[in-house]
Amino acid sequence: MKKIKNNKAWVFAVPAVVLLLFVAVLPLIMIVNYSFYDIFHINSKVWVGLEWYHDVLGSLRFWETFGRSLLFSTLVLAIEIPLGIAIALHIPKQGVFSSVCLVCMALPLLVPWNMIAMIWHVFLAIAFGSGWELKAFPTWAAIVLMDVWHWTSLVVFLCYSSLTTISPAFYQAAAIDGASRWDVFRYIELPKMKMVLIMALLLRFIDSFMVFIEPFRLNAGGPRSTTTFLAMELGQEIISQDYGPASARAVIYFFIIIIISWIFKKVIAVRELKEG
Amino acid sequence: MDAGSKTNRFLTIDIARFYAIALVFFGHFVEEFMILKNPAGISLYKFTYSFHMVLFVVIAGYVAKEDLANWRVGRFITHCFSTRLLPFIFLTLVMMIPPLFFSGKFYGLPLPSLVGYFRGTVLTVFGLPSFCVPSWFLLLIIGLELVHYTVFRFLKNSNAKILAAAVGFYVAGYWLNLEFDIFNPLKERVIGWNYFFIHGAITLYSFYLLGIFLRRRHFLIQKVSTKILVPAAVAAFFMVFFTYQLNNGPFNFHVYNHVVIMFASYGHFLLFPLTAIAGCACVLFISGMTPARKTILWLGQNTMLLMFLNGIFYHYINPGLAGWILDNVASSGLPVFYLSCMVTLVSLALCMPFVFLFNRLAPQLVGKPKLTGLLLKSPLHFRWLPTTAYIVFLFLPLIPLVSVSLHSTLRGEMVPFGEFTLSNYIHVFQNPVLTGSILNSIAYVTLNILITLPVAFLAAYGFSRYTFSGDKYLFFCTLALRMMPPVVMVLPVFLIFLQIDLVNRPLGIALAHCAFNLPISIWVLESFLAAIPREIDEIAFIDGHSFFQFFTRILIPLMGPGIAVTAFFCFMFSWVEIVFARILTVTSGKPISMAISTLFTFRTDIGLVMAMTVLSIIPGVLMIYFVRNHIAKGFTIKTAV
Repeated sequence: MKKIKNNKAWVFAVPAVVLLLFVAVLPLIMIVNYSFYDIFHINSKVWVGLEWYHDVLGSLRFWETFGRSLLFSTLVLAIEIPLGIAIALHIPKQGVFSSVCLVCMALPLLVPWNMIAMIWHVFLAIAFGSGWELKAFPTWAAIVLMDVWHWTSLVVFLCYSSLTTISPAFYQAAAIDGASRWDVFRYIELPKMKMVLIMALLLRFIDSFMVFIEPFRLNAGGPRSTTTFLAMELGQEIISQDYGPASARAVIYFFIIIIISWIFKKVIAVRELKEG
Repeated sequence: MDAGSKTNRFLTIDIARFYAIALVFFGHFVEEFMILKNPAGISLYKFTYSFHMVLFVVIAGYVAKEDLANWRVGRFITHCFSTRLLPFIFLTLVMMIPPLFFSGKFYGLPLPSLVGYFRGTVLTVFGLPSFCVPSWFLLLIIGLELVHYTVFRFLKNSNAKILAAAVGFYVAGYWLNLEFDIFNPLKERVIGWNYFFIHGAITLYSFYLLGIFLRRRHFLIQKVSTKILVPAAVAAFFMVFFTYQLNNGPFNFHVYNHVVIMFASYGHFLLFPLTAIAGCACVLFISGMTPARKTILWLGQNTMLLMFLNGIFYHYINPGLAGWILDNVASSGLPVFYLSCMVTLVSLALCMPFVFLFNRLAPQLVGKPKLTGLLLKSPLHFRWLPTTAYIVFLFLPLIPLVSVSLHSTLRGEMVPFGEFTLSNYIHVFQNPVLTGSILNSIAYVTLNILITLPVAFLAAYGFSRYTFSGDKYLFFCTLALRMMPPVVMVLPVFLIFLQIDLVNRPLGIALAHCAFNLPISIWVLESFLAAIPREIDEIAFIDGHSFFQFFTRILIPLMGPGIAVTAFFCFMFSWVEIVFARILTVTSGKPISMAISTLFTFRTDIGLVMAMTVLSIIPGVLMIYFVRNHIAKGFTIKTAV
């Protein structure tokens, strides 16, 4: 479908732009501004230039946390995306069971975020007893499992809704051609899901990379900071009211996310180019 | 499943399997005498355990599929699943029912209780089947077949290689167990890691290979004269008789000083295989002499089911019965032996109707995937299995949540501690702060949807119908704003909202949530709009509709599913969000999530917390229930990032 070129169409976007300017862009500008100051009180601040950026980027702790967050996001994406696709492929397209699936799968998405860790605490205590909090590996496993439990359904929903738009004629044609199950997935279902998958990938990447409340409530970043992620450092600075360094950190995180998302996009674009 | 109906069965081996399963029943009964420190029981137990599990492994090798090594991975996994794992899961579930009604011996599991069931499930998943201990052998068989599938392709060409590998696996497995102590319940571990007893499978694969070797040499498959078999069996018996007591050694499992295959404790390095092989030979020779009776063959063909049914005796009947016999009937050597043999035969007889029933009603579930039963008439398909398994996984942590919310958790209240009660829910509705928080949550989510939807709808319409200068950049910028972590935005948003008096009001949270809901809504709505052909717009304008009329009368009704799905997404991200919700409600207007947080005091009523959490999920469930068909209608996201 060809779109009409018309600059007056900006009018449609104006309300959204105004709203976003107010709730997102303005705060962003304020953060950038704060990040150059040492803030003692909201009305008394001293210009320190790039000092906070220097401090944050120069600390070993930052890079350790960064690596940990990257590992966490990688693990989470590596589990949730394939699992989500697999589950979505197995939900029937219609009937009572499909409704049951959708309603049941939505449950983890609807639990208030501060209660997720609480629920898992109770569950882990019942199933595994105590003692896991003191060891790094079980804590990591618990956090990853908790995130998979919480968010895989989002991937399932996105994939499922795009799978339902595939016309049965495609499957019939594939059956006539004697295509294997893998071929059907590779040449019919996956291309259809591609854009939804990019969306799921980006959403899950952003949210897992900036994961804060769940691991914090589960084990407070422990044992011995082995599960401290990027957003938890930021959260601690905000709690201790170091607004200057916190703002610098926030700006750095924002750029990290933009850069990694941009790399995602480039990698996908390059792959498309090769395949095309 | 009548005797001989399968042409490739070896009658002698089926008889040997009958003896083996009888020895399992026997061993598990004398184990109780052993635990009660009866000397005769100890001897009988040591004697039986010195070879009876190895016998099973040798028999498994005898009937092993040699062409398994040529199978593709998918076929192998399907085979393993339908003949081993599915029966294991099904029968384990069946064995989870009796603890609800009878009390049995469950090694530290408080059954029946939520804690007991969860721990038991965890132990079972990690390789120790706690609801039916005898069924561990089925897991060992899976482990053996995994090893067999992996290595047999390198051995199948020569018998010499097979024998050499048998020795090699024995030495390697023994060393591994001694060195790494993989499965030792006495070590401080949160969970065991003995998946499919793979460590045991490495050692025991040597005996599996022995079975394959014997089959290749047609050992006992051709008829052998009784004149040879009788003295051979007697010789083998004495071999075991003289060595089983000596079979002590460097153990992994430090409770019993004898062979317990399940705990990977094999005793003496050289005497263990000697005794075990002698014992196997003895039973095999005896099997060669036993006439092939229908009942014996039938029981021999159903050893897997019998192994599970033995769990009933192992967990519920044997402990009490053994104690009663020692106290009231006899406790000296031969009577104990005779009585144990009788108990074994009676137990086997009692199992027969159940074996018959399972085979008639649902053979697919007990390891015979090609047959059909009276209850399960069609062959099994597994289309619903992944989703069901996933939903079960999602429900696992929610079960304690609901359970705790339905029990009294505070001492000193009217309802006794730990009793079933609805009082938590009643307390929620008696507490004006909590009911108020539900209203606050509903208010700000509704406001958020009411703000986001029209604004996003207009923008999405613009993006989907027109191109204009900078539209791509604008689209990317909105998405980039979605990428801002909420923790980052908290402080400035609070300061801005403080200036214009939006703090402590639902409208404030609603506006703040627009920062991440608006980009997603534009994206989703745009994809729905792109699916509606533009001709519809044009026809409407030609028909004389004004722009406003076109929107309200034509486009919005058409976009019903899209709007519903977008509203659900807004709801989902907004309802559960806590970072903004927390910072923007300092003194009043707290939503559910924050109201729950305030319940945590030095005397937290965890039941009340859980009841509130359960209530907080319900509006979302209603929401997804109403939009489920729209999600199923589907939307495609066409616009690239």
